[in-house]
Amino acid sequence: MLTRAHAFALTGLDATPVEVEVYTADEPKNACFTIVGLPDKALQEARSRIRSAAFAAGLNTTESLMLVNLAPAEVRKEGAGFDLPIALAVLAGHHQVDERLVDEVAAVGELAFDGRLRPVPGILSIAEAAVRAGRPVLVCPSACAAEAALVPGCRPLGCVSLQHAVRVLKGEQQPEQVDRGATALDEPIPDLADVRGQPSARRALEVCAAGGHNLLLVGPPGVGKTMLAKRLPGILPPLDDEAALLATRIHSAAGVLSPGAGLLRVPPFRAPHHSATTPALVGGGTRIRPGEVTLATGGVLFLDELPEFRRDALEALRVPIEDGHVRISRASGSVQLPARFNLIAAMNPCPCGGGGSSGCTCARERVIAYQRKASGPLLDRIDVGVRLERPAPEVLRVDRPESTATVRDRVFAARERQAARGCINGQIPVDLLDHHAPLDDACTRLVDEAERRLALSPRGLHRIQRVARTIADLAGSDAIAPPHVAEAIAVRLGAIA
Amino acid sequence: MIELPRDDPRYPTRLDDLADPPATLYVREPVQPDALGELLRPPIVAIVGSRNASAAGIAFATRLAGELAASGVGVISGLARGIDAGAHQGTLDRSGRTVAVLGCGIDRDYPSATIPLARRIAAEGAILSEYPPGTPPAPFRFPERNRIVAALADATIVIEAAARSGALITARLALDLGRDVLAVPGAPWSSGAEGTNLLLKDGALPLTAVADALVCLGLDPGTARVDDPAIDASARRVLAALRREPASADVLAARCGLTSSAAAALIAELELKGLLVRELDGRLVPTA
Repeated sequence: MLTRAHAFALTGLDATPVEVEVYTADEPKNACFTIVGLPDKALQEARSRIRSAAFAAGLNTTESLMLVNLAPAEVRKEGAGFDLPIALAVLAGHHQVDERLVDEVAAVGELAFDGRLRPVPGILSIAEAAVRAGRPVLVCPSACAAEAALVPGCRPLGCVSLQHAVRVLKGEQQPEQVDRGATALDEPIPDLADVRGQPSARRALEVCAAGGHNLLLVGPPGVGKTMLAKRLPGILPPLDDEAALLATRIHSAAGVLSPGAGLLRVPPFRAPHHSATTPALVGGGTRIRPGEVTLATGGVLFLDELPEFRRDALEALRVPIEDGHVRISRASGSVQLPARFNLIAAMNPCPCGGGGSSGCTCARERVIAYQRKASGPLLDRIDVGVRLERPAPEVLRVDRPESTATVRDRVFAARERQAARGCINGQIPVDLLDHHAPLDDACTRLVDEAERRLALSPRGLHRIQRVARTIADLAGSDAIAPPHVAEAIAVRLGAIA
Repeated sequence: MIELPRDDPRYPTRLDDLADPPATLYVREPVQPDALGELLRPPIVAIVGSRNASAAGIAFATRLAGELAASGVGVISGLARGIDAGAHQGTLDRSGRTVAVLGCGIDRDYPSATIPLARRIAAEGAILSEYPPGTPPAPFRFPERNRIVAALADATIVIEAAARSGALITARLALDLGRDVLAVPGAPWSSGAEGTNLLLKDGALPLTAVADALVCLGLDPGTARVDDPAIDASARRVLAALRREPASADVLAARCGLTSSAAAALIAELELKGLLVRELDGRLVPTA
């Protein structure tokens, strides 16, 4: 007989409905178990898991002829999430459960040999697709039910095993309780007040948070570059509903969402190691997975030891930084993933790491060459550069760092001013710069002087204008005044080398 | 390219003071050989110093050369990175006379860091060498080149030099030729001042302002046009704190009791007026 179940194929962040058709016949002489319809390796191996799990559920399938078709045939199907829907259709084909019940719901989950259900990535995308496909009831591993419940309209049936799923469908047993109130286990973000003795670096962080500017931190090892970067999510605006759902879907599809975590409200902080490959950073692989740039969406991408990153990986970052998304092309088609984040890069000031100061043996020209080469591919995407030193005692004596809460208030106020203009400062297009960030005569004189004396490129001047707009917004000023422009000139990237 | 053999009337007569004057001088186009006499006429000084000079040293060389140019003094140097490049640049900025003497063939783009500067000097001043075109740069040629620099100038000014700098060779050659040597004094704990302080001990004239050079050349120091840009009280206070001791932006803000935001604005203002420079380690150093 022919039975049906409903599964989903995950491509990037999107799930496509897949119909599972199983033809079952009791023909011991021709016993076989075949899956057709572009399944990958993990899916081929589903046969062993399904047979074993079915056996655990009290069904011997070794004497049956079973043909499984996954439609549409041209969609590539990957992963172990198809185990449960196929198993349900197989059980229905053996009259263990009503085929109409199986046909009515959507299902996802990986099977263990003893029939237990294991969680799979991308549940949020799958639940959305299930609701869209008109099958809001989703039979899924109990570990995934809370995540599926985040999708409005979705009614997840969290099950611990294949046997449990069958009994739930028959109405003989209740599904596992879904804790809808679950929210992200907020790992407390460390406070900005901990960063003592680095007032200008804290200020640079505030400016970058307020205007969505990219930041380069230059300083010897151990001065607090990482410490500072980790505090940026705390002063960024929390994710609104739409952004939170997107971030959660991204993390779910990448399989990095902790089970039962609920919606991600805190801006993500991603710090890939400098040995990261290009696909790891921008996404890709045969099975398209979101990269670090996508995972950082709405939050922070921190590149520590910038010069150590592979050059091709840094080159690949240019497009996402500029466009706010990445496009991953494969023979099977291309996928566009979001990638809008605050970039913080950090590096040592010179090859020896000593910092051009005492103990450093590098010649001036070598230091300049090192800094240029390191920041090269991303140089024209970074707006603010700041130099960190070991805090001097006289700075520590007078430095009274503000708390994250205080700085966050100023950042929020500045963001609101930008929202009213309809454009975040770091992304004001060149043709709208003079509209959103007009400069009066005194400010123009300063910019002209900077162009003449500091040999700034037109692009560098635009960057100063954008940063000056943010500094004015932080000061609560509608007009950009000369001190705002002067500070923007002082924190330009070129000032660090 | 123009070749000037020793018997050419346009060959600089000052080179005859040398024990081993160059047999031929090569001058890069487009300069007219007749213009060479005007470019090299007195008063003219050599400004030399370390290739790995501090940003403050380079800024001082640029400013001094500019002020000398404004007083009609020509500037000779070696087109190296650091002090040399600063001196040429300062002269060109004030449309002064500047001549670069190379330690390689005049057709060589060396060092690469000064190629754009070399183009300007070739167009507005002169680039010359005693080596035939195509001669590659080599360490042993630079001291040879230095004797030409010393001989062409009325006086040699050393701005920043380590204890074993090539600039000291130029200074010694100048003394041997009976020309004046001026050196910029520095703090004894600064490695860039070792060479210049050594020269001062040996009897070089101290130079702390353009007037010192003008007096040495027999010119009226009153004609020196020293720039004094207008700055307000808080900027003046920042500059005074840095004169006491160069400092990073954070230390400066702490010393002057400013927020880092206010300090940054003042620093940018002073930087734009050329009154301070940033060293590679992030310290801010006043230029005057």
